[in-house]
Amino acid sequence: MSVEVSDAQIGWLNVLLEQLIPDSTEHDAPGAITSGIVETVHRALRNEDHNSLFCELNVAVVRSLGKQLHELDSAEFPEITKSNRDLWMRYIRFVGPVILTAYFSSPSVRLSLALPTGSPFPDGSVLPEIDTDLLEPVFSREKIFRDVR
Amino acid sequence: MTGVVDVVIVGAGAAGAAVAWRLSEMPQLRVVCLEQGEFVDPQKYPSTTPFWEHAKTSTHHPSPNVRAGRFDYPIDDSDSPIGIANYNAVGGSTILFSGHFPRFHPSDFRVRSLDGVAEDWPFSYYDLEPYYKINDEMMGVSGFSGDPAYPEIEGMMPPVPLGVMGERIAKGFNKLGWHWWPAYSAIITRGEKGRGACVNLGPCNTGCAQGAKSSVDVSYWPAALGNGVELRTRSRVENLVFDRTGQLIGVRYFDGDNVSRLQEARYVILACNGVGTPRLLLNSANESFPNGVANSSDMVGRNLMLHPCGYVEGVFAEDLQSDLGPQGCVLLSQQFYESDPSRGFLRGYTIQALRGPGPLESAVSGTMRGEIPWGKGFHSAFKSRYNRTANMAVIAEDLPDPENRVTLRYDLRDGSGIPVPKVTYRLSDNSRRILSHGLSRGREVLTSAGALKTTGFGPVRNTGWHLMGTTRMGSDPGRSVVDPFGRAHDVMNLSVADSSVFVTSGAVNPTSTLQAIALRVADGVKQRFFGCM
Repeated sequence: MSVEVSDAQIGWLNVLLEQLIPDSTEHDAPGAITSGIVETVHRALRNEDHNSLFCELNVAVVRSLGKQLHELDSAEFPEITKSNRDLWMRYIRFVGPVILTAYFSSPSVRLSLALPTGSPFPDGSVLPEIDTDLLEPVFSREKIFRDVR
Repeated sequence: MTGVVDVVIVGAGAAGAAVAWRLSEMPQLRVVCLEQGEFVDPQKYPSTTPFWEHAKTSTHHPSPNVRAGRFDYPIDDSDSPIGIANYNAVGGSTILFSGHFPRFHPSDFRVRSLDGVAEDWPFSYYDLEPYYKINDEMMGVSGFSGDPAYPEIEGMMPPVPLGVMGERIAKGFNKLGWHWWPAYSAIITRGEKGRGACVNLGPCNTGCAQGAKSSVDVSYWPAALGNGVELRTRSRVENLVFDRTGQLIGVRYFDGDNVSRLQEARYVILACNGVGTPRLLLNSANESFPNGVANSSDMVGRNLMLHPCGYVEGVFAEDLQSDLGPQGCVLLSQQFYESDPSRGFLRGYTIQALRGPGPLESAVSGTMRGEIPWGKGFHSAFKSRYNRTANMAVIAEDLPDPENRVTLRYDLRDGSGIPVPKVTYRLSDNSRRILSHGLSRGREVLTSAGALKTTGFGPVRNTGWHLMGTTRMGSDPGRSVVDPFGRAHDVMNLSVADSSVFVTSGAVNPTSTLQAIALRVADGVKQRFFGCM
């Protein structure tokens, strides 16, 4: 069921996106906190499952670090993974694929990473025919199956 | 067609299509096939869009529980380490299958005699061989003759390409002196019968928009429909119907408007796969058959075999273009297929090379397994893996165990109110030992091929495509459900044509064998109608 994403959640998600996939100057690739990707992630996480996991993690972080998730700065990220490891892993396993799906759907990301931008059909790809010389050692073997009637 | 037909077939997948076509060669027979799904439009397959990978986790996910499509029914597989995979449409699971199409070995039909376990089949490889040939012709199969792991197989189209990744793996096998062979593929590499030749789209497992993969909607069905078979889609069969004398008179089904209807038939053939067929037989229990139809042996639903599957992966320094080419068809190895007691297990396994994942799947699996870190190192790690991995599956033979079974959950029903199937399955010690051996040998191959790093794991959860053994075939009515021609021991005008009848599982993808058997079952039915083959 669809639910609203609160301002606190939006704040947190934006911090999270920046932390998980930052810009890369080495690969000339944008990070996940990029127009289009952010909105897609917000939309995709507008559901009760995320809401419930977010609340659970938020409560745990308030207990251990005395701050809400959206108030954390980047230096405090390692603390979440240490103090609430299982819950953090569960949360990341939930949001990770959503973020990656949005990220790799972005045309600018695909262009910068030299990934295909079109559909596989109709062009497909051209691959060379089998080099049958590779099969010579196998051809020369005795039969290896048990021939029973 | 209205009124009583000669034959009603339940299910329009791999087996149902083959049996329908074979029966359609006799124009005197009035044949109707009932299918709960509908035709899929190849132009709407995910590979016609740039973001085809998304569909693998949603609309084209292998699990009907995740997909939850309009024509799917839930399957309770919570009591199994292997999730059940299928697809419900005209074409059945061949819509999503990889098209990897090896045959069983001669020894697979003589497991009891050769290895002292399980049972022998009531016929041999050579009895089935003519049907394999007909099936290859109808489906369209590519491969290479001369394989030392098989009796001679001829008449195939040229094999699908190995690609850079496949050649690296092949060299790895050659260094070790182990068997490998180009994949036997239900993929046409030359255009024929209005179908285009394979152009290496890649994502075969979300449906082939080119029509090169031989899913039965593009191979068997056009021929069967041309011969006059009526295919009624959006028709979900609820149970088999008997008259007061205990005679099977047809099937009751829900049409597309969920209205219950009776289709009367002189003969009924089930082709609903190793979960759907026992489900239907059990759900048809009545006064004459209180434990389910054709179940006097108590074997309906038992002996479920799933082919436990493990994956190995190697990461290479160079770009292997590993995501180019038909996803599941590269090469296979049967070096460890036949029994060798020194290995510590009975029977054996196939190693099947797979193309690498696309970018999204590379990133998701890499991050979830900790191979790609989140944060600063993300892009570098992604670039060092995408298209640089070689992947192989280990397909282990699964021995029959009566406790591995399909039953019904009367407390959980599908959209038509029919009880859903429950799968109870345990991985045997023998299967664990096979997987362990296979994963080690697989990693050895990849290391020999030059991998910098290898990993292996299994059983893999969503790999339960191969559903076998739940109405097994045999000559003894006390130990089997159907006779050597697939006819139920207990019901004279009922046959099973799908992989439920398998006596043992072999260690290869079962579609080629189940279709050959379906053709043979059809010949048995023809004989009953006309006294001739």
